[in-house]
Amino acid sequence: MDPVKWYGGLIESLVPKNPEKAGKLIRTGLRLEEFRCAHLPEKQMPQAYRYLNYMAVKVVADALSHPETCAWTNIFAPTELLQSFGLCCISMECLSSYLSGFRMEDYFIDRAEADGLPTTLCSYHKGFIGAAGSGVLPKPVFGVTTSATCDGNISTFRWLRERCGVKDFVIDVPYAWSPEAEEYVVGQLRELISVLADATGKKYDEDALREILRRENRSKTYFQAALEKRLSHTYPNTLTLVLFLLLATHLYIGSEWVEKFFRIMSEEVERYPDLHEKRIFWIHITPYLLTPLQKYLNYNSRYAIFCDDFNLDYMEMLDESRPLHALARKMILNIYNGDFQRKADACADNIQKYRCDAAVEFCHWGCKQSAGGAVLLKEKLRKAGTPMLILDGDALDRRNNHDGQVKTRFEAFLEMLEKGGDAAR
Amino acid sequence: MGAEMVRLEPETANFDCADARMHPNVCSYAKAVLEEFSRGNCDGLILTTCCDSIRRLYDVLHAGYPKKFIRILDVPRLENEEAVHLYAARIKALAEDYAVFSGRKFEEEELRRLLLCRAGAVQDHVKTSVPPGAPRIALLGARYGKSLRELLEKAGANLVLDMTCEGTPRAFSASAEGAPVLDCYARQLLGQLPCLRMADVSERKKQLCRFTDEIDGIIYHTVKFCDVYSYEYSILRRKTEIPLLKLETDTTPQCAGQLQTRIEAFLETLHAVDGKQVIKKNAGKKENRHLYVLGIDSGSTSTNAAILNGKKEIITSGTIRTGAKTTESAGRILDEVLGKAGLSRSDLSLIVSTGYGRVSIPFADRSVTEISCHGKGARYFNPNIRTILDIGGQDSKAIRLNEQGEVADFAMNDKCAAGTGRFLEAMARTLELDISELGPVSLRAKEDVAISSMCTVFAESEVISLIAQNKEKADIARGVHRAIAGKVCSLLSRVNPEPEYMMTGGVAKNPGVVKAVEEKLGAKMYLCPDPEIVGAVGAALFGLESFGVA
Repeated sequence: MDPVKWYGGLIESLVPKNPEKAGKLIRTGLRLEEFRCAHLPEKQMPQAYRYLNYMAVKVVADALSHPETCAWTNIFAPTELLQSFGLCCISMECLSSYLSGFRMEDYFIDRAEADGLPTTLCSYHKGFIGAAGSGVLPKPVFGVTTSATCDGNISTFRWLRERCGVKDFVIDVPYAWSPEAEEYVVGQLRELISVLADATGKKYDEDALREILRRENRSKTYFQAALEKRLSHTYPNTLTLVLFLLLATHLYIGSEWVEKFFRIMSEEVERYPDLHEKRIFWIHITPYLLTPLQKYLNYNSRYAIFCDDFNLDYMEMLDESRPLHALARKMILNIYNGDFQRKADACADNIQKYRCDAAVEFCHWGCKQSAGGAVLLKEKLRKAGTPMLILDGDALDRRNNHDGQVKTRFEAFLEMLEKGGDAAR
Repeated sequence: MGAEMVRLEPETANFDCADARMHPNVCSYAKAVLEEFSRGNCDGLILTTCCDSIRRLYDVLHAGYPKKFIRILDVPRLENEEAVHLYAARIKALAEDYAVFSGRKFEEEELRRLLLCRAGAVQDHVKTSVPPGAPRIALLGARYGKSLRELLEKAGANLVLDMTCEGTPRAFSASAEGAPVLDCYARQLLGQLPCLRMADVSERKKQLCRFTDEIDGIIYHTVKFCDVYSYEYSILRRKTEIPLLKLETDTTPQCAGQLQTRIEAFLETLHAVDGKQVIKKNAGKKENRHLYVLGIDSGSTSTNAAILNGKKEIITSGTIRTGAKTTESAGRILDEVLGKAGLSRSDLSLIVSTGYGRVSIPFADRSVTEISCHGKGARYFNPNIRTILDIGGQDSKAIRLNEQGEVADFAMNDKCAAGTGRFLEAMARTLELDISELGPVSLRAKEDVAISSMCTVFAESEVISLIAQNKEKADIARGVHRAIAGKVCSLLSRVNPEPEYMMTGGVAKNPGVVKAVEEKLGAKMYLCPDPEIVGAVGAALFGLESFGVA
């Protein structure tokens, strides 16, 4: 018997009658995982990732245990500002992934669908809505979302407000940068500050925010250095670790522990040999649960995900002297915001810069912003001489995947890569 | 600026071009626009940043047609003055961009003059040419096309409120002389009834509240892969006491039959006056003991019929395969049941048709949807029934009845065959079993085998993989039944089911499915001796009611 599945089943059985107890079991499960990460890490896992894995579980378990200091956000929210108010952020994408780790995603997705949400909606949103609507998640202080990138953000937070009573704040991010657009966002951030001050009873501390941005800049410098060193060193990773990396590059960037993580990474990369593996540049989410991919991409010496577009979506330094303007620029100029051409150019540039051999785009079920541009991106990369595979599936809901088909597509792509082919779909 | 503006209302037979240039999992409307634009009838296209699918549509078209004027206008999600100025500046930039493209000139005063002309001339989109007493409907949700509009009109709906995307009339007032006309224009555009992309949509609730006393039902429309409106539907279905129906379309004509059933059934639940005249043949001439009414249920797989007398007794019933022609099978079942009952056509006082093919039966005097008929029929067999699960060949339906036995709510699967008789047939074929063997075989299962995919095609591949792993047929069959049970229980949960439960339709004859549903639901299912004729019996009961037999 799979103990994780058994534990997930136990939680599911408690949800209808005693959601609080089910929530407690989720937290206990996370604490057990935290213990495992601290004392029984995977042997091949580099030191930096061991630390990331441990912290990624710990901070979420802590946030769930202390809802009075917790904020719900999406992955693109200006979490630096929330950190400056002492709030710990949980993104709905992250929490849905953790529920999937307990193998409970189907249960919560079904709950959301039974509540009238469509089968075609992104499973990250449905998983979170199903969990929040069932009462297993303790109510946070606040919710903050942005309009950028994904249609679901505003709607999901509005649903959470209406159904779960979670107050929220929406930041409208313009599609293109201009001085006026930047001021428009800064104005909204100022309003958010006063809302957060009311909600937390704390005063806005600009110096604290500046310090967070300084740490963010140092973290990015370490990350950049690590990426450059990896050009001549094979640094082991997995599909799951690429996903965990998002917590460091987005949700918790600016924190002390994230700076420490990137510092360890940049220091240890050089200790690994160069195995001349085929480097894959990943686009969009890494589907950690797809077993046919795990065989080829988890600690594999022949193939490796060098990096992904999501973790490199905004690598500019932030101007700490104008922190709110820096955060506004960051949101507007994120490659996931605005014309798709910007993202396509950034992917092509990174593939060239990091000498990647191929690209794979994972079209996650329900994510129109990603799927809708897949053909454009493939064409762009074809012209640049980079073979690209478009894989369809669901990064969260196991039922929405067909392992046999994924295996055939991916293996055929690898065979083609070995022979020097250029594209697949 | 002299440009002729046309609002695209695309309807398409397929998405061949869009699927190749975008992705199949993008909003059907965006894909239909791509199909329409690809036909080359426009010199340009102006889109707004309304949703992810339209943003990507812009990217694809902009890259594909570099010589055409394809632009995207970023619409703020806020309505404050900062947003107004930002939007006005963007509109001006768009106009100047078009001036460069077309060689024409943008004059703010010309726009002011145009707005002055339009002020007060608000066009009312809502039509009211319907029979008196027709149910008053509010239409909400995503934009809809001509086909849905026609279906609603045909079904006799009185559309009194249109709150769909693009459905609300635009009201412009002239800006005061000297005031910046673009600011005024932008303010009015942002001040319309908000769609779901806007940050603050509280005005939508207020608008609906204002009409509460004037509407009998709400039809909530969504487009396949356009998900933003479903959130509002999810909230609304909990909060409103007004009967609510959700409809999903995809700009193709493929699902017209099912849509018609849903709309008609919904109007029936609102105690609609049937648009068709009830013909009481021989009425008044016969006493109840000589009164015979035929109910005929024309489904996608089987055609069922039942004759009831004036005492509501089933005289005879029958079931045959529908085959390729609905009309032919209806004629055959008519002859069969008349022969069995020893009656002739002239003995029948009324023929009521139901089911998918109900409108294609020429000799029927009236038709009622299968939703209402299953409700009526179920209560005939067991007066305590409150929730019905009907799994037919291509549809599965969950129907909840109120205490009086009237349909209070219902839900149907979408056009995908998952969770229907067709799905079971495909699985039986893969397992090399006759469909009648599938149920009994599954009851011998020993090992738990999970079929995770509910897509008929994927599930078939999964079954093949399980066969390759030497799994027992009985275990796989139970896995298939449990997968169906999961799907239909999710459908049931959408109608807030209450006991007692009944299962109708051909699939109710499969003991494996019944067992799996009972396990998943945690409740017993009532089964009548012939679950396939419940709809036909219900149709006949509706017929008897028109003779005062209640």
